[in-house]
Amino acid sequence: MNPLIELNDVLYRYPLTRKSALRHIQFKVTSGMVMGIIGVNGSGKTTLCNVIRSFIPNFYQGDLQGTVTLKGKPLNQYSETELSQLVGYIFQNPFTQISGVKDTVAEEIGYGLENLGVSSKKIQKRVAKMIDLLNLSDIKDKNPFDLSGGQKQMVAIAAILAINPEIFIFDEPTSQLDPAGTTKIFKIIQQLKSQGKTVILVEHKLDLMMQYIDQLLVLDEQGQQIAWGKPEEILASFTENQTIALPTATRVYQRMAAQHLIPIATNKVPVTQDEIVQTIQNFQETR
Amino acid sequence: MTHFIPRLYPTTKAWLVLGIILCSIFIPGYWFQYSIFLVALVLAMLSGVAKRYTSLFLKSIFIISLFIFIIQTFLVYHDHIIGSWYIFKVSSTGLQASLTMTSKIVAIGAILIWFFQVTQVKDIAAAMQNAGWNKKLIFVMLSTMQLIPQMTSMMNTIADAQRSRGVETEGNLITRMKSFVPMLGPVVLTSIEQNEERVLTLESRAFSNRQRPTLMVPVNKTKADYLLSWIIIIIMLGIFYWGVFK
Ligand SMILES: Nc1ncnc2c1ncn2[C@@H]1O[C@H](COP(=O)(O)OP(=O)(O)OP(=O)(O)O)[C@@H](O)[C@H]1O
Ligand SMILES: [Mg+2]
Repeated sequence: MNPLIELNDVLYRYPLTRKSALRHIQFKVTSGMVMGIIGVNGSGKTTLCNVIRSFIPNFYQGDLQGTVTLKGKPLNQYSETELSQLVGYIFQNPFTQISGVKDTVAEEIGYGLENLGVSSKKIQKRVAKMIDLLNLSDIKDKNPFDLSGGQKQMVAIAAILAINPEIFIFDEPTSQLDPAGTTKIFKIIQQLKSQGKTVILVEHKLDLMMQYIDQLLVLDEQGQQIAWGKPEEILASFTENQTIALPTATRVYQRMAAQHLIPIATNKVPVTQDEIVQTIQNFQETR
Repeated sequence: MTHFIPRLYPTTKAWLVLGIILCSIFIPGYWFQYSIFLVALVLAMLSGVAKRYTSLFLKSIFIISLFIFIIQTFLVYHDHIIGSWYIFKVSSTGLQASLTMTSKIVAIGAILIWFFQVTQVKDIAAAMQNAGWNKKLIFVMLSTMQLIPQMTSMMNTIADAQRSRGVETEGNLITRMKSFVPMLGPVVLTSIEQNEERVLTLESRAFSNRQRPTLMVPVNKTKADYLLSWIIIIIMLGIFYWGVFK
């Protein structure tokens, strides 16, 4: 099977800068996967998302090397319209994610479908569904400009979900959201996965993220890919004092292993709450 | 009725506006033109916007007309002096000239004020889209309309921030200017900076699709619109013919 997204030795430098923002990025994502990207601030996570959506090089100039393919076809062979239907991208900054031409939230959500020439009946149905899904009925008649950051973020997510693309890129979707909103978004990510959609997720809330991702990409502060694979496998090689933060479960596990409370495994570590509990239980039973 | 007129298709109302503008320009004299103020007032009353219409008219067109009237009548040199008061001389030709000039401004201003009180920009944009106008042009129009209140609120935010840091933002004109001018920089720059990301937002919403866009909430002509459009066109042609050639 062709991988859905494939990056091959990608290197990118922003115009007028000396240092590369991304180096040696290389991974394949198959359809239906949830892929996480982690790294410190300025490590290139957003830049990488822009490469996958081809905003680099279509909108940002600079020096891009390596190849990016979607469904086995190089990105530059897709038209902008095809890409907007194939890849839905929710940006990190909610404040610029408002089209600026619609004066109600409902119409803002339907704007993408209007541009795609979908009939008004179908748009209304789809928008109603999105409003329902994201609990936006209280604000559906408000002007998008008058919303709070978190509400704008929700509307932006609804607007992309309405288009129903195959691939979703969420760049820190929950940065502006309260715990309820955050849970909602993660529920949606899970739903998308069960519908066979592919999700790329940038997120700093590691503990939550680990419950949903299948694959993890780790960037160091130079924008270099330092690990790629199953989170429980690649995190086994990291220790707490390194630059990347580790999920709570992994840290607890490492602390306990260091104190010889549980045996050390070198190839696999627990990354979620459930997994650490399971690990401890298993060990108790074998004793 | 108060809901009927605002809900009419924009072009239906635009026919009336166009007709009145053309008649005002070509019909000689000033009685027809001045009476348009009353026509628009009646229309505004029927549309339920009489108050806003009157206040907007007084604040803009009335003041401009009065100003022009005074300058034209008293200060521009004319023959046929019919009365004088200190250095001011009133001539019959001058009076005539100012009446014709201001009457046209009153007529066109009045009907336009009425039109924009009863027609949403959103509906105008929808009508333009239905008629196949350029998508980018419509976008610019709509986003400008949205941008004005947004910039105002950004200004207020900055003014608040300045005030909380002890900068004087109220008082006489000069103090206000002193705090206002430095605000322009950040407001304009932020707007430009946000533009880049906004372009990407639009791309994500398939803006560059070449296909003709649709509307989630369609705005369509009704039977009443077709009928009224023809009635308006015929009446306006009648007035034009009668006013210009008879
Ligand atoms: N438009 C740009 N022009 C030049 N350099 C840029 C531009 N955008 C980002 N950079 C630089 O590229 C590097 C990676 O930035 P990026 O925004 O991708 O980081 P990030 O991992 O998303 O960070 P954060 O967690 O803060 O969102 C940074 O050093 C940043 O300064
Ligand atoms: Mg980022």
